[in-house]
Amino acid sequence: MRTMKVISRLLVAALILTPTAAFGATVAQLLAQGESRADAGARSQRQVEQAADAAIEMLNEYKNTTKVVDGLKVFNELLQKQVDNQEKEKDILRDSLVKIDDIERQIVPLMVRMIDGLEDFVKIDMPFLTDERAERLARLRGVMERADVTVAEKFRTVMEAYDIETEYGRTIETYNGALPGTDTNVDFLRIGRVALLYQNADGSQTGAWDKEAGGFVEIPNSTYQIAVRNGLKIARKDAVPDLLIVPIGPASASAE
Amino acid sequence: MKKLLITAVAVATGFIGYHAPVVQAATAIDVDQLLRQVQQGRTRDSDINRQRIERFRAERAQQANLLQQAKNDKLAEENRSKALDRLFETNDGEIIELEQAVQDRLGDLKELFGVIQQVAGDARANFDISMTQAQFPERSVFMTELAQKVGQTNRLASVQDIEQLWFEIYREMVETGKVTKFTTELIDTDGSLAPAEVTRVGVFNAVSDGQFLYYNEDAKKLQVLSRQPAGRYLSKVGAVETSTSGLEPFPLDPSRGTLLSNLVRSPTLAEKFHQGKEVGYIIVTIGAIGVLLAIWRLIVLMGVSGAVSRQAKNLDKPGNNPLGRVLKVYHDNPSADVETLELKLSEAIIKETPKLNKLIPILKIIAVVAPLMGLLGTVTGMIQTFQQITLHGTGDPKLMAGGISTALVTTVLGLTVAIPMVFLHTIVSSRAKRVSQVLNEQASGMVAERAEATG
Repeated sequence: MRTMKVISRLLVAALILTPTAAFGATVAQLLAQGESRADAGARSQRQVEQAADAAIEMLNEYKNTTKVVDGLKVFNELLQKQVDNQEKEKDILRDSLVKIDDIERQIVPLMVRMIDGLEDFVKIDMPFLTDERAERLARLRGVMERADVTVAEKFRTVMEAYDIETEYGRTIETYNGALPGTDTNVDFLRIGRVALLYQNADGSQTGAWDKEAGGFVEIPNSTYQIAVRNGLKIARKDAVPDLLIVPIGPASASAE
Repeated sequence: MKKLLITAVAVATGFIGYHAPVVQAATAIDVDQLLRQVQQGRTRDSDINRQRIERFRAERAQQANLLQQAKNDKLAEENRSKALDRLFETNDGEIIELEQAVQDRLGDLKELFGVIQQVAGDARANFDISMTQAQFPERSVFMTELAQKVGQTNRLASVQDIEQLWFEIYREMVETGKVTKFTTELIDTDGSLAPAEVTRVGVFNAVSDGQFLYYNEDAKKLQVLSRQPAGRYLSKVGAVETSTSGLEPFPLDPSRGTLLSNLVRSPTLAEKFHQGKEVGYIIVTIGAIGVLLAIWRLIVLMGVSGAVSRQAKNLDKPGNNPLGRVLKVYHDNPSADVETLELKLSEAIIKETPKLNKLIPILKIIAVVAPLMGLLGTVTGMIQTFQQITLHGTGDPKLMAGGISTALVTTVLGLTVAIPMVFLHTIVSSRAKRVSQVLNEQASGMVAERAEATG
């Protein structure tokens, strides 16, 4: 301790320096002074230590508080996001209520338009399976008028009809029938929606639907006879699929 | 502030994989160290935190103020928490009520949305593999969104959405019947992208610049087939591309591209040849040797028979050819009697015959051995195939069929060598026979002449 050192030094100095006459009194004075000084030192030391402790405590408190604040901020941020999402959800639900009204009013007219659209399409499409497709449309109209069928069921039926029509564009099939406008019985071969061909049983007559001419035209046997015969076999699943030579009309520029 | 927030989040959640650099920006720290710190439950003060404390230490006078401010912040945040909590609770209640209201109102429509979801899902699946997808790529976004939307219980499709769905299905239906030209990005055989004019025939095929294309579902683009079908088909493609009216023959793939894709996967002629392995190579080598021998013998015999026929027209001057050498024997023995001459001529002819027939038996042997070797290759291949079946079972018929077809390649090679070799052997040996015949004829003539002369 510094105070002790000071005192001992003072004592030594006093012992060396003092003349004998005034020795006793001076020593006593010096000692008293030294002690009081030492006390003052100790007091100020305590104050310094207290101040330092207070500062450290404050720093710790500050550190802890900022840590808590940071944690709270993160928590609040997340909470805020959740609340924002809730708001969005509420908007969606309110919107849904509006939509439900909309759909209830408009779904039936929409379905009628869908059937009209399909009917128009079948009219201008290649004339294959005409009876079957006309019957399907008539059935659709019938279903629309029934009260005991739910809206969902009606919608499903309309969509099914569309599905079947779309499927025609992806498949090849053959069916037997009379060539339109004549009594000749022929095998028709439908290649999706891009070609509709026919051939009579002995293969002497081969023809195709010509969109431009708007009717069936005969096509040269030299080019197509074997191809159509193979096509018929493939459509009946009697032969392995192979490239088929089919008559294709001119390309139209895409309407985009 | 924001950075601090990220730091706090990263530390608080223990999310330390990628954001380690955020936590410690000043000095690089490796993940293991960080992990250790987290394990010990010690999180490092971020730079900002440390700076803040430094500032706090430095500004002694301000300390009390700063502390008070921090406490105020804490209070404010706590209040905000409470407010948000209350808001959350009330919202929760409202949402439940609204959901109930929606459910009550839905009633029959619930079923309708189920149908719409199914239709949208089916349509999307069909669109994704359709040739038209390259032309209308934007529709897949709508279809995906719609399917997701209707899939969630609390979100409904609007009438516009249903109309859009109808439109997309209608468009697909119309497009299946079209032969149409459009410009799109095309993947070439080398993988490069370039815009090109494409002619699409319904949803069956697409062609561009006289080449067939297929729809690459992963890249969502049309791609040129790396192997094109046979020339007799390819030659017709151009006419359809340029046609403006009337019907043009077009080689169409009724399986919508599957056939053409298989074409790419089927082995080329060279690959098939290499399937024959060692036996195949040996057969082909022998065949090549046989053909070379036959050609060489044919050239030699043609020369010889030419020389012999020229000699036959000029019997007085024996030259250096088979007939010449026989004539020389005749001329060298002008005084020999008939029998002696006959014996001498026979000897001369017998000397000439092996030269004429040189190597011809080898051609015959090749013609016989080649198919036998092919059969050997096939049998060993079949044995291998059956061993494979023993090991792997017959779960995959492809494995079996592939092995057998590979095994049969050697038989094919053997036959392709043997058939021409039989022809070549016949041609060469008949040439040789013809020369021997001329020699015999001439010799008989000479003997007859001598017999007459000695009479």
